[in-house]
Amino acid sequence: MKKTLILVALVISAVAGLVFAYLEMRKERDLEASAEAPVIAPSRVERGTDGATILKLDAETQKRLGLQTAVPVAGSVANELTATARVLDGSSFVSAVNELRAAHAALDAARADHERKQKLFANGRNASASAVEQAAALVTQQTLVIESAHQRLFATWGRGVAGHDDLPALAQRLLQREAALVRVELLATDTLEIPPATLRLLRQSGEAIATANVLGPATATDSTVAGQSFLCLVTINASSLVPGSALLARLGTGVSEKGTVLPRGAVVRHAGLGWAYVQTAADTFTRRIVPLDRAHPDGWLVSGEWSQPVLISGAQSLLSEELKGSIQMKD
Amino acid sequence: MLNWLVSHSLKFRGIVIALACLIVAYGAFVASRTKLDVFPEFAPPMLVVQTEAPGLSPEQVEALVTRPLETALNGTPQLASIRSESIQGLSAITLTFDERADIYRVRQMAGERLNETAAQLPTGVKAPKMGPLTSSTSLALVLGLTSQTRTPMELRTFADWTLRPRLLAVPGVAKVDIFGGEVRQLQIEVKPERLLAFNLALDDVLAAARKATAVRGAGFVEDANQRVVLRTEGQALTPAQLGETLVKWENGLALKLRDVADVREGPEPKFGDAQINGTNGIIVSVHGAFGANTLDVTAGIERALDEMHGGFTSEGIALQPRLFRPATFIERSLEHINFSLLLGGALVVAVLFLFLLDLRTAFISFASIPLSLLAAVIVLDRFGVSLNTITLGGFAIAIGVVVDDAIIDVENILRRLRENLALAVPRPAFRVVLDASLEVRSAVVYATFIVALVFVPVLTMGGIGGRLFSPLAVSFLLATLASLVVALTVTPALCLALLAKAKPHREPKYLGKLRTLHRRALEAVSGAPRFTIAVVALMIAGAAATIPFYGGEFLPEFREGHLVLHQAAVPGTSLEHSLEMGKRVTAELLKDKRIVSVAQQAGRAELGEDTFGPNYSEMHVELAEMGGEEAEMFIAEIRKPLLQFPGLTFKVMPFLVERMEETLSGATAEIVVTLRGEDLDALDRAAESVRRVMVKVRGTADVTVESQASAPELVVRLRHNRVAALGFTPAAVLEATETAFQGAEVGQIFDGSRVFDVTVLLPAAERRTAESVGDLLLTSAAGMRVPLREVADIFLADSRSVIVHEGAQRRQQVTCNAAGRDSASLLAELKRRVIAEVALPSGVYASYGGSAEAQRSTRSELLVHSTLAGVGIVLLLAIVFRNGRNLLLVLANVPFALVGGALAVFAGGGLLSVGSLIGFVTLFGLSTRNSIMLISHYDQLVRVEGCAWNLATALRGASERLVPILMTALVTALGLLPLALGGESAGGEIEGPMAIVILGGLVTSTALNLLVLPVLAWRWGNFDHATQEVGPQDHAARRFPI
Repeated sequence: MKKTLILVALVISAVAGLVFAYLEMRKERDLEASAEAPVIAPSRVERGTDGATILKLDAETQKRLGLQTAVPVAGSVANELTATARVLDGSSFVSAVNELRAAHAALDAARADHERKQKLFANGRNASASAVEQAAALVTQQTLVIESAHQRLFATWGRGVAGHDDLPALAQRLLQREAALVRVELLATDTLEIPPATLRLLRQSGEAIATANVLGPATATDSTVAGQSFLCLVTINASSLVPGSALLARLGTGVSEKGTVLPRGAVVRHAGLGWAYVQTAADTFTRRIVPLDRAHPDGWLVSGEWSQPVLISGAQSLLSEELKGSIQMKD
Repeated sequence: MLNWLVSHSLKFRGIVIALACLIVAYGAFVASRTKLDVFPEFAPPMLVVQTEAPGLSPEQVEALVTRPLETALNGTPQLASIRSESIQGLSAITLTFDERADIYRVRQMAGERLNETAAQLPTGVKAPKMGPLTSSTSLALVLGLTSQTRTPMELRTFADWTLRPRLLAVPGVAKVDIFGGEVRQLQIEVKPERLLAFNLALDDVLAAARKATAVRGAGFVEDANQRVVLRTEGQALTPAQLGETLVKWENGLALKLRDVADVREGPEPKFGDAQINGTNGIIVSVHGAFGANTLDVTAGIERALDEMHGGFTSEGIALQPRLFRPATFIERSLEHINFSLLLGGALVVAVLFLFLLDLRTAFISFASIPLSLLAAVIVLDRFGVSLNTITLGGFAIAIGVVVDDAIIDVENILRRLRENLALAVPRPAFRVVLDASLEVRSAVVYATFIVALVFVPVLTMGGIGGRLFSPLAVSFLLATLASLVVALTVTPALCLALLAKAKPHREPKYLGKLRTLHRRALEAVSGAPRFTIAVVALMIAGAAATIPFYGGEFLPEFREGHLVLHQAAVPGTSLEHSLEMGKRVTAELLKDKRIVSVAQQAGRAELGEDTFGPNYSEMHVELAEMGGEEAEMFIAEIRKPLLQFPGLTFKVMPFLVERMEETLSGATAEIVVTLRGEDLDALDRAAESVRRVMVKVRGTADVTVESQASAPELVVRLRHNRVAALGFTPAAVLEATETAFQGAEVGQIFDGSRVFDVTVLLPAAERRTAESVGDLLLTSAAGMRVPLREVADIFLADSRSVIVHEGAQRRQQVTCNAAGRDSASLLAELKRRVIAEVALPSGVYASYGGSAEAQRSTRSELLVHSTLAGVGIVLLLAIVFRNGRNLLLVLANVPFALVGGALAVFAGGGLLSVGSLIGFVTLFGLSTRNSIMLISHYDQLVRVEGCAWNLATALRGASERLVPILMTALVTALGLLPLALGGESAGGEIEGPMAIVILGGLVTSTALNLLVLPVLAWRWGNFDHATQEVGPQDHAARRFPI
């Protein structure tokens, strides 16, 4: 009987030991098995009270991910067109002006001669009638020469230049390179209904040189550009402009847009749109559409209310968290 | 035949012993030089074809590159499957061939097809390249380069042009992948405003740049005396020289490249990068060739690095030579296995001595181990099979069988010699030894063949399991067959040489006491046979009851001391962001002092194995040495810091598991519904429909639709009427766009042996914002200049980041696992319901598969082969016994023998791995051997010695078999004990569970053979008394027709 009891006790102990070992080892195996599953952090995506998607990240997680926020600043974009500019050779203008002056001088002389001959004819007939008529004809001829010179000047240089108050002075200044004439050419696809009064001239490197006054439309342009052209006059730093130089010009379109500037790093793209994450609370972020049609040197100009901080670094982390379900782990 | 073999071995025993010594010496020599590895080659013959298509989107890569190549390759002979991935800038096609395909032949055939098709690929697409021939665990070493003084470009140039050629020269190195740094290019960054100002088009710059640098041969000039070679040097090697290239003459002035562009050195656009412990650096991955010895290759690489040590120092480069060193795991594993073998061998010697108390007999028994194993090593080496943890594991489990062969012989010879001495007229020792050998040999021969047949299903196992484990069966069988030959030749020869003249010692007293105890137990058991059978049946039922608690696992966790960590963000993530997050993850991981280093490879390398986008990173996490338990828990612990990074998904696994998962092509879920068609959107819709049906079916779990992740894309769609109206051609617009943003390669410069590309593109600042693409100025042939937005619609969209093909068709997959029901019936129901409830769009069709299907096919295969093996075993047993009842007695032994193994699996958590299954197979073989020996001994007592078949004879026979059975059991158990205890150590992960099953089974099997089987044989055995008196040798020859 005693032996039977001992035997039974041994059997029960053995069974209990086996079951205990199984349970302990099973826990270990389950832990190992779970270690093989992908590691995915608990989702931070929630629905806000208004049904919008929000992300909740505490301060520690934000620091761990390197998230940085900043309140966007106001900014504006002065709409400008970029054009090419070429410094013109003023010598032909000077020649034209001199030709005009010569014509004027010739006209003055012809007039004086005509007057003199008229007086002589009237006083005692020391000048013949034909001499008087010739003198008159010369005056007419010289008048036509002046007119022709003016027309050529207009045709070549346009009203803006040819209509200048003091052409000789202008010519002198061009000759002495105290002024420079510049032809500015827009691209064929850019149009300006009303050209600005002034424009900025820059070197190819982007260095600003001078401001030019827009005199008016140019009378000729480069066939390869086939866009609007303007003639401009530079009166400051003109000596640095060498005829033939190729420059850049920036023309204001007269339209300046104001708004808020979102830094480039704040913007992510998804579903065909631009987005930025706005921090609506210390631990809450919401994605908001950013139109990407107005570039700013520092990012994008947007309109509307943007007074809350915006994520300027780490936005891709939040987008990745929202779209985590689409991440496919490779084998 | 046996008679002839044994008798001649005894006759020429000197020669036999000398030959044995020679084999041992040669075997040791071969073992010292043979190929060592951690695993056998487990990948099927495979080939990867990669084609770089710079700048093309996934859809373009698919249409222009992947499809033509797939069409060409699809007809390659012996092709089992073809899969492809088209990602931005790259097409990767993976061809898997039949298991028996000759990899060299199929590579050649595929190469021929590629050559024919390569010419049809679009301009700008590089030539398709076949990956070099490497093994499945080809990675030999991962090392890192960092520098405080060198720029990333200098570091990369050093890695590409100094380090890589040196490493490729190491014998056995197939390829070297490099991540990180900046690949040097000479870049001509065109300023569009300058082009405008100087009335130039982009084509003018391209034309000038193409002529800027050239290498031409000028031949030679020969006179009567000499031939003088002409060498022209016209290359522009520096940015300054390149900038002097004439673009055009204008008004007597030379317009040069530097006037219209910034010419400088710049980095090639990256598709991959690297960090080491959070710092920018270079990661170099060295891969061994197919068939190369990893240890030798690693040693060669390390020697080469040592030779270059001075070079590193002088260049100001710090080398980190061990970011990952697979050889360490191999060394540790082999060390562990070797130690286990040696320890096991020492324990075996101790047991032999304990039972035999004679050094000579212990030596003779032990000698069979090295002789058999080394003979097997010679054969393995001859066939090019490496020594690895699997083959060594086969040797380890063969130790018991190997030494058992010798023990049976030696014990019987010793007993017969002792009896012979007690005779009035002792017979010649030669005859005694011969008869004693033959007496037991025949049964053992059949028993060995039975064990061999038991391993047939393992030998014929298909798939990755077969490739991995059949070498174990091969090494086991070779060792066993070798031990059979040894037992027929060397053992008798040694016995005659060493024991014949010496006086056999008396049996130790404790063995006598053991026999007494055994006899008493037998008498007690024989007094209650029904009770005994009831207890046995109960134990079998108890073991069977544990089966439902078993879970399956293909492979255990390996203690490599190294982990591979995959980090993924959503597609579309930039390389910069991936690196930034990688740096933060690295900093978090390195807080744990058990992590030695973290090396991040973001994206991909050219011709690299992985075709990851910039959003995906692979990190090598090297660990400090840890104990088995700690290492086991570490993978679970490393997950904790990773869970603190939202927006990222990780996967952590040992390197070998990662390699095996890569090799297992296709999805690994139990049930996979594959949808094929041309329209990706239609495929997605169909997948969603299938998913909806799948979740409603009872027994499905983890229903998943393969994610078709999208990434942001800026589409530039030409407006053809506007293009024509403004005087452009579509090709010109597209080429200008390509040049501006991707860059146009216009030539190379050759700086010594280094080659660098010359590229024309826009400045980096103008390529930073996607939306500024529309500002790109284009120039028509007539000289008209317009921005790109005037001739194209430019808009943001989402597009596929990768397009996957299977069987040369687009595919989508819906997967699930079975929960609470068998996968076969689940699959059948799913098929029915999908057909009935899902209206597949036109052009989409479905096929069904998954690991359940593969397992079903494997199981069917296993069942067929097991059945064949079973029939063979029964036939052999029938030949041995020629008696149905005795045959059934042996077979009835099997379930009880397996009880111990089943309980051992249960106590280990119920995890049934392939290793455990092989343990059961081995157990079956071992216990069957002992049963055959016992029944044969009874037959011997009745037929040869004329004993009546009764309880006394049964008890006597059992008592006489006590020592050999106990010795065999102890020897096998002790031989395997180090493996079982070292299951947590490196290298013991597969053999450990195997050894535990065998150990557990040995307990019950030994109890069965010593206590239960004699009683069953007494009650139900059939041993007819022979009428004719025959001598033992004649009897042996008559009974066993070998």
